[in-house]
Amino acid sequence: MAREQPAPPVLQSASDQILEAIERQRETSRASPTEQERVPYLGFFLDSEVYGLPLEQLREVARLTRLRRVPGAPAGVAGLVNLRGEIICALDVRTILGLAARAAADSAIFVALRGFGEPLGLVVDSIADIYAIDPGQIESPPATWSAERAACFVGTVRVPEGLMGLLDLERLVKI
Amino acid sequence: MKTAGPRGRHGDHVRELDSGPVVALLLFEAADCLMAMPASEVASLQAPGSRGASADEGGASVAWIDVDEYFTGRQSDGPWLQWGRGERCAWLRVGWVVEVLACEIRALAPMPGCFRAEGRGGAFWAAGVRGEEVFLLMDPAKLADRRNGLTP
Repeated sequence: MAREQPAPPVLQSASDQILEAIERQRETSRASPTEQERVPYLGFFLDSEVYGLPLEQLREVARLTRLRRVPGAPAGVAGLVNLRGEIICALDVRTILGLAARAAADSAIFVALRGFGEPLGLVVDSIADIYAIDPGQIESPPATWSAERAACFVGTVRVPEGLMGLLDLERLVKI
Repeated sequence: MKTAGPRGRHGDHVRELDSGPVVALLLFEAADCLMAMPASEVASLQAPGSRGASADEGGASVAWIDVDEYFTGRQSDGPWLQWGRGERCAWLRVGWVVEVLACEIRALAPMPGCFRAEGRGGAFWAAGVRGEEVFLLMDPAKLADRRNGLTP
């Protein structure tokens, strides 16, 4: 008695499979970049404006409790902060960016940075959020910004809180 | 901490403990800031309002520097400290004297680069911590040189 043999599956050629996979990947990347392609940024507020810095340059975020102003310090330097016994130079981003001067509030936040040789940090008003930014969405600073201000940024990106200026920290610390 | 006794290479005012060399610092307030200088360089202290010492000591011209005025332009009414290092000396007026603090040298952090530049911010060698507070270790020689026109 002869058994009925199941029909063999129709095999795609290897090249067809590869081409199909590439096309699928291309479609996916066009729709939304994968999380791996996005760069995480810490967003923080100065007044109502939101600014961002790459998470890889962030060391720690802490409440600003002790800020020692240093007589004769440059305008862009807020002073020295004692972070659990370590003395860190705090930059006054507000002054560097040309925003209206304001004394650091009790609720001010200290953002300690990494990768600058000397211990360094920023005094900010509050933390906004962490954003996964697609590098392709980063745009040049608006033409309405002064050249001096625009030079402090690598670009801008739209986030729910508004237009977020992405700080060029390497440049900022030299100012 | 156990005292290991003085070590000659550090001079008389620096002691070596098990944890490392320790220096005595005179802490004072001036220009709304907690500052310090090596206690061994302070020869005497005069009460507020008693600028009685001669302005010309031993034939050498001595600088009288109000630290508040130097940094903020406002005059202080605190005591005068007689500072001396080798041949150099000056009288420094501070807001008030806080205390003498034994401080491990390794606990002092060099001033960040932005403060080391020329100018009045360059008057500090290092920063340290007293409790939660940061203090600035001042080099009185920088103030005296500026006052005498030896530095810009």
